Amino acid sequence: MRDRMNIFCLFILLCLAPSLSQARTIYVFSPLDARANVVQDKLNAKCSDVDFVVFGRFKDFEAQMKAQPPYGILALQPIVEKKSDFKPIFLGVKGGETVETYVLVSVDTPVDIKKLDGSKVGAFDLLGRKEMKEFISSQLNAEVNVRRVTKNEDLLPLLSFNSVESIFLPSSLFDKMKATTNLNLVSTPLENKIGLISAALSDASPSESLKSCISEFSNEINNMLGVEKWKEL
Amino acid sequence: MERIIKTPKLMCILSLLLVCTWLPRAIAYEALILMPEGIHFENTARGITEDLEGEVTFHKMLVGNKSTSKDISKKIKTLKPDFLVLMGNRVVKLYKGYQDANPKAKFPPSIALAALGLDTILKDVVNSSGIRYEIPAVTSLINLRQLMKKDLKRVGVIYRPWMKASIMENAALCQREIIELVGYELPAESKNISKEITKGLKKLRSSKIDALWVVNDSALINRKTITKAWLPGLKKMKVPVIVGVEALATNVPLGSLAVTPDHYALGVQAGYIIGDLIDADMVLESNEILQPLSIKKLVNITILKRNKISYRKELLSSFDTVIEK
Repeated sequence: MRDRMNIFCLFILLCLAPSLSQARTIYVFSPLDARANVVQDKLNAKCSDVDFVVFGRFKDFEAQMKAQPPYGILALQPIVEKKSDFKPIFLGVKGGETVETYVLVSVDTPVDIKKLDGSKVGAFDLLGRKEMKEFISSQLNAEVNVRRVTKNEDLLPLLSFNSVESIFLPSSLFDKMKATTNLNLVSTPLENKIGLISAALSDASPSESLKSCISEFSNEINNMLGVEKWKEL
Repeated sequence: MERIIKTPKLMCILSLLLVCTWLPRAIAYEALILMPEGIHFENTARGITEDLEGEVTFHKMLVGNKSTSKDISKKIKTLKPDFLVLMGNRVVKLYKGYQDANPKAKFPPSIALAALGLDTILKDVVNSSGIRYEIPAVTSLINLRQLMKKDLKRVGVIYRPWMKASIMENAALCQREIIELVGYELPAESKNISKEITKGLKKLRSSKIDALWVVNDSALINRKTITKAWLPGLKKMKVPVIVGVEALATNVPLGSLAVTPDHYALGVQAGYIIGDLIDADMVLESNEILQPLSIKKLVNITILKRNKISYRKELLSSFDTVIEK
């Protein structure tokens, strides 16, 4: 009888295992200055009841989203908006806002935003080749050629080597980029605002421990994710 | 009457045939990647294929030591690719051999990657463009400048005469970042290259350089020159040393910073050229050879500490590898 009971328990555990492991994983994909493994270690040290998996590249994130859908995602709002299975529960906040402005960065001369058609614009790859072209073109109200990079730090070489006329960058990162180079970088402000990183889950009622974990991320983690604090929805 | 009935049928068949021939092109272009075996080439190929998934069907042909231009010719004639990706020096050489052997053929566009000295070896390849493999000094130096707490104004480099043009180009790129590349050119011929390197290091030391950039040249960097010239010479010069091979900052205590190509990102960058080709219906609009954008960074903290070089700890998280023993 006991053997049968053990087998039954084992069967139940095996059946539950995939859903349990799925329930505990949150995928993170956002432009980061730090390497993905460093951010992942910090996040996993902070929250014990979920596993964070940090992706540095869109293609890896997208492939894993399809192969093994996670319990939740931490990503910029343009990405979250495309994932209808996930409901935002927290929005990242910086300077009192959940959105931020962007600029076009160029060398020596500001960009004429009325003459962008056909120009080459560099940007961090958030959505893949075709969708990034559509996304950036819609943000700039112009048909542009997008040069995507897989790391934030690769944006400056695009300008240094004249591979693009300008780069699409959150305005908060402009000073940081300017501090790394002696090129005469100039910024042209854009009117549109894009949502900061947000946390979205497949579960409408997340555990209190998960909620407190995200809302109490350390300053170091928040800084890596490009926010100051979190706003619960 | 019979004729009237047959004509629409014929039209239907013809339309179907037309759709069938047009459909594959609408879905994807055909490309041939000619590449040697090896993890770096695989990663580059992955960067290209993943980025253009659904738009291009990629076929790979592994090119080994025994492969010939004829093997390449046979593959191209069978597959008739819309464009080619050439990886590695041997592949570029064999492809050039194929073009030379078929002067009347129409060559599809080709993109050359992961090969040294592309400017020279690709010069006579028809309808080709590419991305350099060598990381420009300015990319490495910007990263070093960020990491160090001190400004970089003068950076030394020892080179052989054949590299002069490349050094000049690097110097111009560095100048835009207000970094002076101080070159020491070795004699064209020397019986004792270690002795010449030692002389060069001594000269650079007296030039008060802030860092040293070591170029990838097997005649300059080998077991003999490392033990006889580089390591003894650098003992007297406590400056950060940038190398282009990881082993020179891990197995050998020479480089404090190793900067190497990010092979996956190199593939993604090749995707720009391919994307432009797709948009221009397979017309290569420029034969320009681009600079590589993305790098892998390794820092050896032990060497920095040994040479009493201070650095920004908070920036270590942006390095792919941090060596600290």
